[in-house]
Amino acid sequence: MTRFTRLLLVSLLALVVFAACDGPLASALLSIDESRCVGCGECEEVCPYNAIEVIDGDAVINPNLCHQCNRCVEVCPEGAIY
Amino acid sequence: MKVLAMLLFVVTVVFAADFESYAQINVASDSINYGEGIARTGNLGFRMDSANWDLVLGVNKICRGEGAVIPRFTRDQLEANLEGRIKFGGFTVNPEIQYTMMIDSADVVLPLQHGEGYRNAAMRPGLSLSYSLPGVFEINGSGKYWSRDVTALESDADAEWTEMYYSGDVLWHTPVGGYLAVGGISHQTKLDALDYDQSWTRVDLAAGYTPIDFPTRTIVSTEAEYSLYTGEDYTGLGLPNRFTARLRAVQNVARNVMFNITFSQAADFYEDETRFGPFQSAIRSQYKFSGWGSVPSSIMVGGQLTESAITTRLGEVEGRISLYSGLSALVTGKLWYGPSSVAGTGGYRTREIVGGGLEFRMNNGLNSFVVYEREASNLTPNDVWGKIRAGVGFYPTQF
Repeated sequence: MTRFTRLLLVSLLALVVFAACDGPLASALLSIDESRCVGCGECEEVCPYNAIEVIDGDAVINPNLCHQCNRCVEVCPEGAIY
Repeated sequence: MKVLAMLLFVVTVVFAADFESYAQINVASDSINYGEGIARTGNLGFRMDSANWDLVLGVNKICRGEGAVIPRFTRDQLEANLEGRIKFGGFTVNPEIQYTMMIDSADVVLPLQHGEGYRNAAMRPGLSLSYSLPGVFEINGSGKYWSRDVTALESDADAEWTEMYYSGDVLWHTPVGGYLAVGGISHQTKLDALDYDQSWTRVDLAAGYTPIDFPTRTIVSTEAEYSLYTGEDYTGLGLPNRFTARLRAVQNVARNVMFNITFSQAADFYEDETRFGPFQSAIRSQYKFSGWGSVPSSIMVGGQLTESAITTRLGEVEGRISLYSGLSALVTGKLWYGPSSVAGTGGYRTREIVGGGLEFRMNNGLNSFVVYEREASNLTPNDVWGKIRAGVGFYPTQF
Protein backbone atom coordinates (compact mmCIF):
# COMPACT_ATOMS: atom_id res chain seq x y z
CA MET A 1 0.00 0.00 0.00
CA THR A 2 1.54 3.31 -1.05
CA ARG A 3 1.74 6.29 1.25
CA PHE A 4 -0.78 8.13 -0.91
CA THR A 5 -3.28 5.24 -0.58
CA ARG A 6 -2.88 5.28 3.20
CA LEU A 7 -3.54 9.03 3.28
CA LEU A 8 -6.61 8.55 1.07
CA LEU A 9 -7.99 5.80 3.31
CA VAL A 10 -7.57 7.93 6.45
CA SER A 11 -9.29 10.87 4.71
CA LEU A 12 -12.19 8.65 3.60
CA LEU A 13 -12.59 7.29 7.14
CA ALA A 14 -12.73 10.87 8.48
CA LEU A 15 -15.35 11.79 5.82
CA VAL A 16 -17.54 8.82 6.79
CA VAL A 17 -17.42 9.84 10.48
CA PHE A 18 -18.26 13.48 9.76
CA ALA A 19 -21.06 12.52 7.35
CA ALA A 20 -22.75 10.78 10.29
CA CYS A 21 -22.96 14.04 12.27
CA ASP A 22 -26.46 15.34 12.93
CA GLY A 23 -27.10 18.49 10.94
CA PRO A 24 -25.95 21.83 12.25
CA LEU A 25 -25.74 20.72 15.90
CA ALA A 26 -22.43 21.64 17.44
CA SER A 27 -20.94 20.17 20.58
CA ALA A 28 -20.38 22.51 23.51
CA LEU A 29 -17.30 20.64 24.75
CA LEU A 30 -14.43 23.09 24.17
CA SER A 31 -11.16 22.09 22.58
CA ILE A 32 -7.61 23.27 23.29
CA ASP A 33 -4.98 23.37 20.57
CA GLU A 34 -1.88 22.31 22.50
CA SER A 35 0.38 23.41 19.66
CA ARG A 36 -0.82 27.02 20.14
CA CYS A 37 -1.19 27.07 23.95
CA VAL A 38 1.78 28.81 25.59
CA GLY A 39 0.65 28.14 29.19
CA CYS A 40 0.32 31.86 30.05
CA GLY A 41 -2.53 31.18 32.54
CA GLU A 42 -4.85 33.99 31.34
CA CYS A 43 -7.65 31.41 31.02
CA GLU A 44 -7.11 30.21 34.60
CA GLU A 45 -7.41 33.76 35.86
CA VAL A 46 -10.79 34.54 34.31
CA CYS A 47 -12.52 31.21 34.87
CA PRO A 48 -15.05 31.79 37.68
CA TYR A 49 -15.52 28.04 38.18
CA ASN A 50 -11.89 26.98 38.66
CA ALA A 51 -12.51 24.74 35.64
CA ILE A 52 -9.25 25.29 33.78
CA GLU A 53 -5.68 24.72 34.94
CA VAL A 54 -2.32 24.98 33.27
CA ILE A 55 -0.79 21.54 33.80
CA ASP A 56 2.72 20.77 32.54
CA GLY A 57 2.62 23.83 30.27
CA ASP A 58 -0.78 23.30 28.64
CA ALA A 59 -4.26 24.38 29.67
CA VAL A 60 -6.56 21.48 30.66
CA ILE A 61 -10.34 22.00 30.95
CA ASN A 62 -12.19 20.16 33.71
CA PRO A 63 -15.46 19.23 31.92
CA ASN A 64 -17.15 18.48 35.29
CA LEU A 65 -16.89 22.15 36.25
CA CYS A 66 -16.90 24.02 32.91
CA HIS A 67 -20.12 26.06 32.42
CA GLN A 68 -19.26 27.01 28.79
CA CYS A 69 -19.21 30.72 29.69
CA ASN A 70 -16.42 31.09 27.08
CA ARG A 71 -14.46 33.71 29.02
CA CYS A 72 -11.33 31.62 28.45
CA VAL A 73 -11.99 31.75 24.69
CA GLU A 74 -12.34 35.53 24.93
CA VAL A 75 -9.06 36.19 26.73
CA CYS A 76 -6.74 33.57 25.22
CA PRO A 77 -4.07 35.65 23.43
CA GLU A 78 -3.16 32.75 21.12
CA GLY A 79 -6.66 31.74 20.05
CA ALA A 80 -5.92 28.25 21.37
CA ILE A 81 -9.35 27.56 22.92
CA TYR A 82 -12.41 27.06 20.69
CA MET B 1 31.27 11.30 60.95
CA LYS B 2 27.94 10.98 59.15
CA VAL B 3 27.48 14.76 59.31
CA LEU B 4 30.97 15.31 57.87
CA ALA B 5 30.30 12.84 55.05
CA MET B 6 26.98 14.53 54.31
CA LEU B 7 28.67 17.94 54.32
CA LEU B 8 31.36 16.70 51.95
CA PHE B 9 28.67 15.29 49.64
CA VAL B 10 26.73 18.57 49.63
CA VAL B 11 29.91 20.61 48.98
CA THR B 12 30.89 18.27 46.11
CA VAL B 13 27.42 18.53 44.56
CA VAL B 14 27.31 22.31 44.90
CA PHE B 15 30.77 22.83 43.39
CA ALA B 16 29.91 20.51 40.49
CA ALA B 17 26.85 22.59 39.62
CA ASP B 18 26.24 25.76 37.65
CA PHE B 19 24.11 28.55 39.09
CA GLU B 20 21.75 30.92 37.36
CA SER B 21 19.27 33.41 38.65
CA TYR B 22 16.79 35.82 37.15
CA ALA B 23 14.52 38.64 38.25
CA GLN B 24 11.68 40.10 36.27
CA ILE B 25 8.95 42.69 36.87
CA ASN B 26 6.08 43.19 34.43
CA VAL B 27 3.25 45.69 34.59
CA ALA B 28 0.27 45.58 32.25
CA SER B 29 -2.81 47.71 32.27
CA ASP B 30 -5.81 45.86 30.91
CA SER B 31 -7.16 49.25 29.95
CA ILE B 32 -6.30 52.79 30.81
CA ASN B 33 -9.65 54.39 30.11
CA TYR B 34 -12.01 51.47 30.43
CA GLY B 35 -11.90 50.40 34.06
CA GLU B 36 -8.80 49.91 36.13
CA GLY B 37 -7.75 46.39 35.35
CA ILE B 38 -4.09 46.64 36.17
CA ALA B 39 -1.94 43.53 36.42
CA ARG B 40 1.44 43.45 38.09
CA THR B 41 3.66 40.40 38.16
CA GLY B 42 7.09 39.97 39.69
CA ASN B 43 9.25 36.87 39.34
CA LEU B 44 12.42 35.86 41.10
CA GLY B 45 14.19 32.65 40.21
CA PHE B 46 17.20 30.61 41.11
CA ARG B 47 18.48 27.63 39.18
CA MET B 48 21.21 25.16 39.99
CA ASP B 49 22.06 22.55 37.39
CA SER B 50 24.56 19.90 36.54
CA ALA B 51 24.87 17.29 33.79
CA ASN B 52 22.30 14.91 35.29
CA TRP B 53 20.12 17.04 37.50
CA ASP B 54 18.73 20.51 38.04
CA LEU B 55 16.85 22.33 40.76
CA VAL B 56 14.73 25.41 40.13
CA LEU B 57 13.19 27.69 42.73
CA GLY B 58 10.82 30.36 41.49
CA VAL B 59 8.84 32.94 43.45
CA ASN B 60 6.08 34.83 41.66
CA LYS B 61 4.04 37.74 42.96
CA ILE B 62 0.85 38.23 40.96
CA CYS B 63 -1.55 41.10 41.51
CA ARG B 64 -4.52 41.67 39.23
CA GLY B 65 -7.31 44.20 39.50
CA GLU B 66 -10.93 43.37 38.82
CA GLY B 67 -12.12 46.33 36.76
CA ALA B 68 -10.97 45.06 33.39
CA VAL B 69 -13.09 44.82 30.27
CA ILE B 70 -13.43 41.06 30.77
CA PRO B 71 -14.76 40.53 34.30
CA ARG B 72 -11.81 39.25 36.28
CA PHE B 73 -11.68 38.32 39.92
CA THR B 74 -9.21 40.17 42.08
CA ARG B 75 -6.14 38.11 42.66
CA ASP B 76 -3.23 39.05 44.85
CA GLN B 77 -1.01 36.11 45.55
CA LEU B 78 2.49 34.91 46.23
CA GLU B 79 3.44 31.68 44.54
CA ALA B 80 6.53 29.55 45.21
CA ASN B 81 7.61 26.68 42.96
CA LEU B 82 10.36 24.21 43.73
CA GLU B 83 11.12 21.80 40.93
CA GLY B 84 13.82 19.20 40.52
CA ARG B 85 14.83 17.04 37.58
CA ILE B 86 17.07 13.99 37.73
CA LYS B 87 18.19 12.21 34.55
CA PHE B 88 19.85 8.84 34.24
CA GLY B 89 20.02 7.07 30.90
CA GLY B 90 16.70 7.60 29.18
CA PHE B 91 14.86 8.08 32.50
CA THR B 92 13.79 11.45 33.88
CA VAL B 93 12.29 11.93 37.34
CA ASN B 94 10.71 15.32 37.96
CA PRO B 95 9.35 16.04 41.48
CA GLU B 96 7.82 19.46 42.14
CA ILE B 97 5.88 21.35 44.76
CA GLN B 98 3.96 24.61 44.44
CA TYR B 99 2.64 26.69 47.32
CA THR B 100 0.25 29.57 46.73
CA MET B 101 -0.44 32.09 49.45
CA MET B 102 -3.37 34.41 48.81
CA ILE B 103 -2.67 37.92 50.06
CA ASP B 104 -6.12 39.02 48.97
CA SER B 105 -8.49 36.07 48.50
CA ALA B 106 -9.67 35.24 45.00
CA ASP B 107 -13.34 34.54 44.35
CA VAL B 108 -14.65 31.31 42.90
CA VAL B 109 -18.10 29.98 42.02
CA LEU B 110 -18.63 26.82 44.08
CA PRO B 111 -20.12 23.76 42.38
CA LEU B 112 -23.70 22.50 42.88
CA GLN B 113 -25.10 26.03 43.28
CA HIS B 114 -23.43 26.56 46.64
CA GLY B 115 -22.86 30.21 45.76
CA GLU B 116 -19.52 31.94 45.76
CA GLY B 117 -16.48 31.32 47.88
CA TYR B 118 -13.02 32.63 48.52
CA ARG B 119 -9.85 30.81 47.57
CA ASN B 120 -7.21 31.04 50.30
CA ALA B 121 -3.90 29.13 50.37
CA ALA B 122 -3.16 26.19 48.12
CA MET B 123 -0.53 23.45 47.95
CA ARG B 124 0.24 21.33 44.89
CA PRO B 125 2.82 18.55 45.01
CA GLY B 126 3.48 16.58 41.82
CA LEU B 127 5.69 13.93 40.33
CA SER B 128 6.45 13.17 36.66
CA LEU B 129 8.35 10.20 35.29
CA SER B 130 9.42 9.63 31.72
CA TYR B 131 11.51 7.24 29.69
CA SER B 132 12.58 7.89 26.16
CA LEU B 133 14.37 5.79 23.58
CA PRO B 134 14.90 8.47 20.90
CA GLY B 135 13.18 7.68 17.62
CA VAL B 136 11.59 4.48 18.96
CA PHE B 137 9.26 5.11 21.86
CA GLU B 138 8.45 7.44 24.75
CA ILE B 139 6.63 6.77 28.03
CA ASN B 140 5.38 9.58 30.24
CA GLY B 141 3.50 9.53 33.53
CA SER B 142 2.48 12.37 35.78
CA GLY B 143 0.50 12.85 38.97
CA LYS B 144 -0.55 16.00 40.82
CA TYR B 145 -2.57 16.74 43.92
CA TRP B 146 -4.16 20.09 44.70
CA SER B 147 -5.25 21.04 48.18
CA ARG B 148 -6.98 24.42 48.43
CA ASP B 149 -8.52 26.14 51.39
CA VAL B 150 -11.86 27.64 50.39
CA THR B 151 -14.33 29.65 52.44
CA ALA B 152 -17.99 29.58 51.36
CA LEU B 153 -19.33 33.13 51.21
CA GLU B 154 -22.88 32.43 52.40
CA SER B 155 -22.16 30.12 55.33
CA ASP B 156 -18.62 31.35 56.07
CA ALA B 157 -17.76 27.65 56.38
CA ASP B 158 -14.28 26.45 55.50
CA ALA B 159 -13.97 23.69 52.93
CA GLU B 160 -11.05 21.81 51.47
CA TRP B 161 -11.11 21.74 47.66
CA THR B 162 -8.91 18.87 46.53
CA GLU B 163 -8.10 17.57 43.09
CA MET B 164 -6.23 14.45 41.99
CA TYR B 165 -4.79 14.39 38.48
CA TYR B 166 -3.04 11.49 36.75
CA SER B 167 -1.93 11.38 33.16
CA GLY B 168 0.16 9.01 31.12
CA ASP B 169 0.97 8.13 27.55
CA VAL B 170 3.00 5.72 25.50
CA LEU B 171 4.13 6.73 22.01
CA TRP B 172 5.71 4.39 19.47
CA HIS B 173 7.45 5.76 16.37
CA THR B 174 6.69 3.09 13.77
CA PRO B 175 9.36 2.13 11.21
CA VAL B 176 7.13 3.34 8.33
CA GLY B 177 7.28 6.99 9.42
CA GLY B 178 4.20 7.33 11.61
CA TYR B 179 3.39 6.88 15.24
CA LEU B 180 0.85 5.15 17.44
CA ALA B 181 0.00 6.54 20.86
CA VAL B 182 -2.15 5.58 23.82
CA GLY B 183 -2.70 8.09 26.58
CA GLY B 184 -5.08 9.02 29.29
CA ILE B 185 -6.11 11.46 31.99
CA SER B 186 -7.95 10.84 35.24
CA HIS B 187 -9.16 13.82 37.26
CA GLN B 188 -11.13 13.89 40.52
CA THR B 189 -12.52 17.00 42.23
CA LYS B 190 -13.75 16.83 45.85
CA LEU B 191 -15.25 19.31 48.29
CA ASP B 192 -16.05 17.29 51.38
CA ALA B 193 -17.92 20.02 53.22
CA LEU B 194 -20.24 20.58 50.22
CA ASP B 195 -20.65 16.87 49.49
CA TYR B 196 -19.20 17.30 45.98
CA ASP B 197 -17.22 14.44 44.45
CA GLN B 198 -16.94 14.30 40.66
CA SER B 199 -14.42 12.74 38.37
CA TRP B 200 -13.79 12.39 34.66
CA THR B 201 -11.42 10.29 32.63
CA ARG B 202 -10.21 10.41 29.07
CA VAL B 203 -8.43 7.68 27.11
CA ASP B 204 -6.83 8.77 23.83
CA LEU B 205 -5.95 6.44 20.98
CA ALA B 206 -4.00 8.29 18.32
CA ALA B 207 -2.25 7.45 15.07
CA GLY B 208 -0.18 9.88 13.06
CA TYR B 209 1.58 9.66 9.73
CA THR B 210 4.15 11.95 8.14
CA PRO B 211 4.77 11.13 4.46
CA ILE B 212 8.28 12.00 3.42
CA ASP B 213 7.90 11.89 -0.36
CA PHE B 214 6.63 15.45 -0.76
CA PRO B 215 8.70 18.17 -2.44
CA THR B 216 11.77 19.36 -0.59
CA ARG B 217 11.21 21.52 2.47
CA THR B 218 7.57 20.40 2.80
CA ILE B 219 6.33 18.38 5.76
CA VAL B 220 2.75 17.11 5.80
CA SER B 221 1.47 15.22 8.79
CA THR B 222 -1.93 13.69 9.46
CA GLU B 223 -3.32 12.54 12.76
CA ALA B 224 -6.47 10.73 13.84
CA GLU B 225 -7.40 10.55 17.52
CA TYR B 226 -10.27 8.90 19.35
CA SER B 227 -10.92 10.05 22.91
CA LEU B 228 -13.16 8.02 25.20
CA TYR B 229 -14.60 10.12 28.01
CA THR B 230 -16.34 9.05 31.19
CA GLY B 231 -17.98 11.50 33.57
CA GLU B 232 -20.63 14.21 33.44
CA ASP B 233 -20.73 17.89 32.69
CA TYR B 234 -22.08 20.39 35.26
CA THR B 235 -25.69 19.73 34.15
CA GLY B 236 -25.38 15.96 34.68
CA LEU B 237 -25.18 15.15 30.95
CA GLY B 238 -22.70 12.40 30.02
CA LEU B 239 -19.52 13.58 28.30
CA PRO B 240 -19.32 12.62 24.61
CA ASN B 241 -16.56 10.57 23.04
CA ARG B 242 -14.62 12.59 20.46
CA PHE B 243 -12.99 11.72 17.15
CA THR B 244 -10.55 14.29 15.81
CA ALA B 245 -8.79 14.38 12.45
CA ARG B 246 -5.89 16.79 11.97
CA LEU B 247 -3.79 17.82 8.99
CA ARG B 248 -0.68 19.98 9.29
CA ALA B 249 1.56 21.22 6.50
CA VAL B 250 4.79 23.14 6.96
CA GLN B 251 6.39 24.63 3.89
CA ASN B 252 9.77 26.35 4.01
CA VAL B 253 9.53 28.43 0.84
CA ALA B 254 13.05 29.70 1.45
CA ARG B 255 15.51 29.39 4.31
CA ASN B 256 13.91 32.38 6.06
CA VAL B 257 10.25 32.11 4.95
CA MET B 258 7.93 29.50 6.44
CA PHE B 259 4.23 28.69 6.05
CA ASN B 260 2.37 26.58 8.60
CA ILE B 261 -1.15 25.42 7.74
CA THR B 262 -3.42 23.36 10.01
CA PHE B 263 -6.91 21.88 9.66
CA SER B 264 -8.73 19.94 12.31
CA GLN B 265 -12.28 18.66 12.62
CA ALA B 266 -13.85 16.76 15.48
CA ALA B 267 -17.04 14.72 15.81
CA ASP B 268 -18.63 14.17 19.22
CA PHE B 269 -20.58 11.00 19.99
CA TYR B 270 -23.31 11.55 22.56
CA GLU B 271 -25.54 8.69 23.74
CA ASP B 272 -28.27 9.32 21.18
CA GLU B 273 -26.69 11.55 18.52
CA THR B 274 -23.49 12.53 16.80
CA ARG B 275 -22.63 16.22 16.68
CA PHE B 276 -20.02 18.25 14.92
CA GLY B 277 -17.17 18.99 17.28
CA PRO B 278 -14.78 21.92 16.97
CA PHE B 279 -13.37 22.79 13.55
CA GLN B 280 -10.15 24.75 13.19
CA SER B 281 -8.37 26.10 10.15
CA ALA B 282 -5.26 28.22 10.58
CA ILE B 283 -2.37 29.60 8.60
CA ARG B 284 0.78 31.26 9.87
CA SER B 285 3.69 32.58 7.86
CA GLN B 286 6.96 33.82 9.28
CA TYR B 287 9.69 35.85 7.65
CA LYS B 288 13.05 36.00 9.43
CA PHE B 289 15.73 38.54 8.63
CA SER B 290 18.79 40.02 10.30
CA GLY B 291 17.72 43.68 10.65
CA TRP B 292 20.23 46.38 11.57
CA GLY B 293 21.12 45.42 15.14
CA SER B 294 22.32 42.34 16.99
CA VAL B 295 18.91 40.76 17.74
CA PRO B 296 17.27 38.45 15.13
CA SER B 297 14.25 40.03 13.44
CA SER B 298 11.04 38.36 12.34
CA ILE B 299 7.54 39.17 11.15
CA MET B 300 4.65 36.75 11.60
CA VAL B 301 1.32 37.05 9.79
CA GLY B 302 -1.43 34.61 10.64
CA GLY B 303 -5.12 33.87 10.54
CA GLN B 304 -7.47 31.36 12.13
CA LEU B 305 -11.11 30.34 11.83
CA THR B 306 -12.78 28.08 14.37
CA GLU B 307 -16.34 26.73 14.54
CA SER B 308 -17.94 24.81 17.38
CA ALA B 309 -20.90 25.91 19.47
CA ILE B 310 -19.12 29.27 19.09
CA THR B 311 -17.31 30.94 16.21
CA THR B 312 -13.98 32.75 16.39
CA ARG B 313 -12.01 34.53 13.68
CA LEU B 314 -8.51 35.83 14.19
CA GLY B 315 -6.09 37.78 12.01
CA GLU B 316 -2.76 38.78 13.50
CA VAL B 317 0.56 40.43 12.75
CA GLU B 318 3.50 40.36 15.12
CA GLY B 319 6.99 41.58 14.51
CA ARG B 320 10.36 42.35 16.05
CA ILE B 321 12.60 44.52 13.92
CA SER B 322 16.16 44.95 15.12
CA LEU B 323 17.13 48.62 14.84
CA TYR B 324 20.51 49.16 16.47
CA SER B 325 22.61 46.93 18.73
CA GLY B 326 20.13 45.43 21.26
CA LEU B 327 17.34 47.90 20.44
CA SER B 328 14.34 46.51 18.54
CA ALA B 329 10.98 47.85 17.45
CA LEU B 330 7.96 45.71 18.36
CA VAL B 331 4.86 45.70 16.18
CA THR B 332 1.55 44.05 17.01
CA GLY B 333 -1.84 43.96 15.32
CA LYS B 334 -4.85 41.77 15.90
CA LEU B 335 -8.36 41.56 14.49
CA TRP B 336 -10.51 39.17 16.53
CA TYR B 337 -14.16 38.17 16.46
CA GLY B 338 -15.56 35.85 19.07
CA PRO B 339 -17.84 35.27 22.05
CA SER B 340 -18.32 38.10 24.51
CA SER B 341 -19.00 38.00 28.23
CA VAL B 342 -19.40 41.78 28.34
CA ALA B 343 -23.00 42.87 28.93
CA GLY B 344 -24.73 44.59 26.02
CA THR B 345 -22.58 43.15 23.25
CA GLY B 346 -25.10 40.58 22.06
CA GLY B 347 -22.99 37.52 22.70
CA TYR B 348 -20.26 38.36 20.18
CA ARG B 349 -17.87 41.25 19.71
CA THR B 350 -14.92 42.28 17.63
CA ARG B 351 -11.56 43.49 18.88
CA GLU B 352 -9.17 45.56 16.78
CA ILE B 353 -5.76 45.95 18.38
CA VAL B 354 -2.90 47.97 16.90
CA GLY B 355 0.25 48.63 18.83
CA GLY B 356 3.94 49.19 18.85
CA GLY B 357 6.81 49.53 21.24
CA LEU B 358 10.49 49.16 21.92
CA GLU B 359 12.58 46.40 23.42
CA PHE B 360 16.15 46.75 24.63
CA ARG B 361 18.40 43.79 25.37
CA MET B 362 21.75 44.57 26.99
CA ASN B 363 24.76 42.30 26.96
CA ASN B 364 24.78 42.10 30.76
CA GLY B 365 21.40 40.31 30.71
CA LEU B 366 19.16 43.30 31.35
CA ASN B 367 16.06 43.24 29.12
CA SER B 368 13.31 45.84 29.07
CA PHE B 369 10.29 46.53 26.90
CA VAL B 370 7.34 48.87 26.63
CA VAL B 371 4.39 48.38 24.28
CA TYR B 372 1.41 50.68 23.75
CA GLU B 373 -1.70 49.19 22.20
CA ARG B 374 -4.88 50.86 21.03
CA GLU B 375 -7.89 48.60 21.25
CA ALA B 376 -11.33 49.12 19.77
CA SER B 377 -14.34 46.95 20.43
CA ASN B 378 -18.10 47.23 20.06
CA LEU B 379 -18.70 48.19 23.68
CA THR B 380 -20.64 51.12 25.08
CA PRO B 381 -19.97 53.79 26.21
CA ASN B 382 -16.20 53.41 25.80
CA ASP B 383 -15.36 51.63 22.60
CA VAL B 384 -11.74 52.69 22.15
CA TRP B 385 -9.04 52.60 24.80
CA GLY B 386 -5.32 52.28 25.27
CA LYS B 387 -3.25 49.65 27.00
CA ILE B 388 0.34 49.70 28.15
CA ARG B 389 2.53 46.69 28.83
CA ALA B 390 6.00 47.20 30.20
CA GLY B 391 8.59 45.07 31.89
CA VAL B 392 12.16 44.81 32.99
CA GLY B 393 14.05 41.59 33.52
CA PHE B 394 17.53 40.71 34.63
CA TYR B 395 18.97 37.40 33.44
CA PRO B 396 22.60 37.27 34.54
CA THR B 397 24.91 34.80 32.91
CA GLN B 398 26.03 31.77 34.86
CA PHE B 399 28.12 32.33 37.95
